[in-house]
Amino acid sequence: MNQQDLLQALRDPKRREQAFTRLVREHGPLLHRHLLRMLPAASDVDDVLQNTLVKVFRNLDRFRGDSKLTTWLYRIATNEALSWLRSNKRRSSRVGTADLSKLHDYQPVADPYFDGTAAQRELRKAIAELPDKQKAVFVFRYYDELPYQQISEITGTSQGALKANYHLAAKKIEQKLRAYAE
Amino acid sequence: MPNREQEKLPDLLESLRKQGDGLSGPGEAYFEAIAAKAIAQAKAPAVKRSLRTRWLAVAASVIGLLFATWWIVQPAEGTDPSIAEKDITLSSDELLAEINVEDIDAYVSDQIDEFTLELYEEAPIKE
Repeated sequence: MNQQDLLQALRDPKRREQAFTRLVREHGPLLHRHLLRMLPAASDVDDVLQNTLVKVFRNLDRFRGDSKLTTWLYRIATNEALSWLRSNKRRSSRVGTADLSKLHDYQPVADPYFDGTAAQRELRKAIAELPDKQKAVFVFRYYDELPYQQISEITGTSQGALKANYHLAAKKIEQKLRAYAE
Repeated sequence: MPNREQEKLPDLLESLRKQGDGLSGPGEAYFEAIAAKAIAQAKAPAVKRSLRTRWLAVAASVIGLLFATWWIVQPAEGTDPSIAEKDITLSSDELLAEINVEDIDAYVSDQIDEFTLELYEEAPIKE
């Protein structure tokens, strides 16, 4: 089923639920992977992914197909992740206990979806310490190799700002990795 | 999805990119289950307050506010309202006149330690 057929099925109330399940089966892994890279723990990913999918289902009629379906899905998932990270920081500052960077130290080990090398774990830690929006840009560019045009559509940020952010993020991460290697 | 605008990354990051992110994903059953949960949640009616409920909430707030106001301004238990009223109408000179001299001396004796030499020095000598 191509995107056009899938969209038609999603707009048809009789076929909507079946088509939605198909959409989640096809695009869910992409979103799940993206959220795993953005968020500190796998348990958070479950919640944020579900919130994302609820929003997708409720707003299916609003998607007119001006952009690619993946761009729209990424946009909702990224907004949900950023909003989750913001509220998590507020919660942490209220409790007054959390140094998130210290929490991140332990996350990849405890993460059931992470089975990488020590270097990959250090990279994940370095990414987790980036400012939230910079993290999103870096993840889209570095791992997914999305063109700046598409990242701009997802994040609503100008391509110039995205390039500057990506460059800055790469520099910070490289410094952290070098410090780790030495 | 490689593209032409790919910039040159430091060697360390470039080599790590080739290794991937070390992450794996859940199986198809997970996505089917989460899709079903999302549909159920999306279809659940949003909690909406009817007009009647809103008016009841407003009425309860007003009653609560009135009760709190009454509770704050009411005279203390055992206080004779006529005395409280009288206190308000008396001037400070009249109130002072009602305190006997022994009580004033006792108070000054109790508090005398709190005076300092500087205060004595600054105080005008009347005698």
